Amino acid sequence: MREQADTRNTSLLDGDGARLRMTGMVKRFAGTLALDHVDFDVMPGEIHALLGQNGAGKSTLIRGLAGIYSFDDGEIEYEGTTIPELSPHTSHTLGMRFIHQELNLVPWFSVAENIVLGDRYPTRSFLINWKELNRRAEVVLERFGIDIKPSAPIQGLSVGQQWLVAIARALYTEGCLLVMDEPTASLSKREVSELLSFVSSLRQHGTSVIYISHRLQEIFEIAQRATVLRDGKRIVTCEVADLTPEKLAEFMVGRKASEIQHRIEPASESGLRLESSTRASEPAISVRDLSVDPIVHGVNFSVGASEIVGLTGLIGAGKTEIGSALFGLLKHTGVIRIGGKKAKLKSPRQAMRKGLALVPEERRRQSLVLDMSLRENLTLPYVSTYRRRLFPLLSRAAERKVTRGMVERLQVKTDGLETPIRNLSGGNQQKVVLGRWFQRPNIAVILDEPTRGIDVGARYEIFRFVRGLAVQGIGVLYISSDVEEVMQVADRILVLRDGAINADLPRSQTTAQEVLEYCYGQTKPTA
Amino acid sequence: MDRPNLLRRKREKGRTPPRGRLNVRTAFARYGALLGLLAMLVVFSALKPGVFPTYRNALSILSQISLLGIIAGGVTTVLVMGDFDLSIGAHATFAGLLVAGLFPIMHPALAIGITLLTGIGIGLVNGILIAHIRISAFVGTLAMSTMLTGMSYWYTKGATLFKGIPQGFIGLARNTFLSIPILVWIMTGVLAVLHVLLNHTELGRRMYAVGGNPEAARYSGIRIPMQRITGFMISGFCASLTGILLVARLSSAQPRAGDGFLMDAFAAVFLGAATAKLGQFHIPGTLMGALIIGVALNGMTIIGVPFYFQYIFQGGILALAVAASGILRRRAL
Repeated sequence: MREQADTRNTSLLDGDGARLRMTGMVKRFAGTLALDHVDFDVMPGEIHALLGQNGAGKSTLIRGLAGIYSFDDGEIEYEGTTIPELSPHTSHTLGMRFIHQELNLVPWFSVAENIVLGDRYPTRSFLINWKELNRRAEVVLERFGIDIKPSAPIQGLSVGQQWLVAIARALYTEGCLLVMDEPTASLSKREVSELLSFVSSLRQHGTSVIYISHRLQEIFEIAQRATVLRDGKRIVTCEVADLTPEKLAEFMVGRKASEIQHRIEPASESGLRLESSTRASEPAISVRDLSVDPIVHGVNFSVGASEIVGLTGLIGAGKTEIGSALFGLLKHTGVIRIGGKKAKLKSPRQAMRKGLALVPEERRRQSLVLDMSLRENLTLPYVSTYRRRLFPLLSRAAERKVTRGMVERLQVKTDGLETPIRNLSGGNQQKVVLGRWFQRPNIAVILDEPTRGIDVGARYEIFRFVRGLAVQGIGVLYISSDVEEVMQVADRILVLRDGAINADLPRSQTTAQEVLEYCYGQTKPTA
Repeated sequence: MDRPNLLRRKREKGRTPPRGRLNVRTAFARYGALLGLLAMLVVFSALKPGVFPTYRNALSILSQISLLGIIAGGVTTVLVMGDFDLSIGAHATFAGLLVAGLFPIMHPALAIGITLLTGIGIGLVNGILIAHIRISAFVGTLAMSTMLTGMSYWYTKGATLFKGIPQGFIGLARNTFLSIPILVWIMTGVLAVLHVLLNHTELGRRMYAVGGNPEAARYSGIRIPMQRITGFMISGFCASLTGILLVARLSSAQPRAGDGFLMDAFAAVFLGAATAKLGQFHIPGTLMGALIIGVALNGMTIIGVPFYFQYIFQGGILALAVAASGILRRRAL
């Protein structure tokens, strides 16, 4: 690999050597510049991080590269050859492989079947030659040091292992430029570090990687260079070694990270009025001996009114299961009290009646009806409250009034209340999902990974909103596998390990380091 | 964060037409049905200028599609939730035989009432089989359809029922009100109620949510089985009503008389989904679809196209309509 001495705002101007070079890429959508003369290049064996907030132009660039649509202007060079136009086919032939979060593996096929899927299966007199198939897969797995049996079914693998298989598949069909979009979004800490070290090791094989992630630490761990996009423009391309996380965040947001930090820290005194304190005597949620077979074993905790309790732990520790059980989505045993009253929660409907709300983990799958408008999505859970008094029809005027109020309060960026929700960016969609649960005065709310896949700016707005809820007397159970995030938002942190609460730590008396230790194993009796 | 980057997001995430070819396909899917209707109007008018483009014939087409409109409107509510109801044709037949069998032994209003309630009951059974026992809608309603056909033959021993059908009842299909056939008024009423139900009530909103994303609907506290069962009950009610009105039109009830509605109803609903709104099912679309089918069948009869060709047309139009609404929906994603 060539050593590059260039620093920020200089791309590699000497022509040869780059695996991929894009110069002056322009993409317009109905007059708006989605990409404004963006330069981007990747060297052989380089991991190049591509950063930017939602809407900065990352996905436009990547989709263009995948041949999903064509650029309006700009020049693409691949291994020194100018490529006149990219189609999905040419992009594949050139060796570019795009691994999306969905992975596109066939769950009931074996590892080997999935790896060879893009190619032709070896046959012997018209029948698939399974031995040869497994052998071929094994060669690839061994070459890259992946310790998974070729005959294992995909279904039985962890998400992290599935990523490795997806990468192996890309490399089996001779990919030499991998584009990975948020590979670690659904991985546990341990899986993340495994994946990162594996991706790093790909460099020895000369494989280039374009790495997209919202998690800045990862970029410092594996990438050599980073390019930051903002508003469709390239802000900077530079060596990661010359950067600090603060610098990077500043490039992405366009203002100093310290300012953002400042905005949420004093949230409790941020001038939000205390609307009711009458409920404060009873805890919003109290849970005695909650078990969800076979994951959660006899958990006890409570969330006070006006309190934000963070619930963290590794993937598989049972965080989501606790949230789902409380919302009546999973069968459970134990005693649950909402606002002091004993509650039997067998369906989301019952949970909602008791004053509980849940913002689930997967926005697009579990929260949104993508064919519906912003308004319809916002009012969905409580749509019956918009019934007219005399005639059982819905009042759109009332719906619009509430929706408008929520859009303003949460600063949702949209060009109208009737815009299809699918047209909003992830962060704005998430704000609508949050907003939907606050049309009614609820007692408690469960947030499951509320900032997943959301850019830095929207993230802080969501933090602020959550703090505002607590100030109003709502109890918040904040589920997140991101310890840093929990440290930022929560008043108290519950650490879950193997389905039991391993620690109960007030934020002021703990550190991220300590929380992580409890996640991974250190045991200490609950305070 | 106060950049107005929305427009761009919208295009980026949304429906950027990737290639020109697809554009043509989408345009065809979206406007094909309307263009087809226009083309038919032009062609039929040109071929039979004295017969086809007349007020009388227009009323006759409307009257012809009124039963189709009702049964297709009912099945629209089921399709909105992503379910199927393949029992509607056999159901209409069964309802016709039931009401014709009840007429001689009781007051006509009571006979009609019992038949409509039975229709709702059949829908309820369909719904329970599918939403609670979790048989696939396809299989569940096909089984119901077969059972209803069997019961129809058992009940009539294959004979036609025509005794004791009141003249006043037959008048429903013959008479007009404000010079428009009563059947057309009934269809208009039923479709108007269904439209309001789907678009202006909680029930309709929830139905669309269940169809759009069942998982999200569940997380929003919607009891999905309830919605699905309600859909099947509405569909059952409309199928029974259609069967009853068919007896008025034919002045008799025969086994298999209503079976043909199945194909036409699905063709109408899918044509409707293909005429607007990104492949979503909706009542005005269904009416439009029924109208297209009505015009086609009427025109073909007038210009003397043999009946077997009409079957080929009906099958073809169903396939085309489903394809078109599918293309539109994919484009929307």
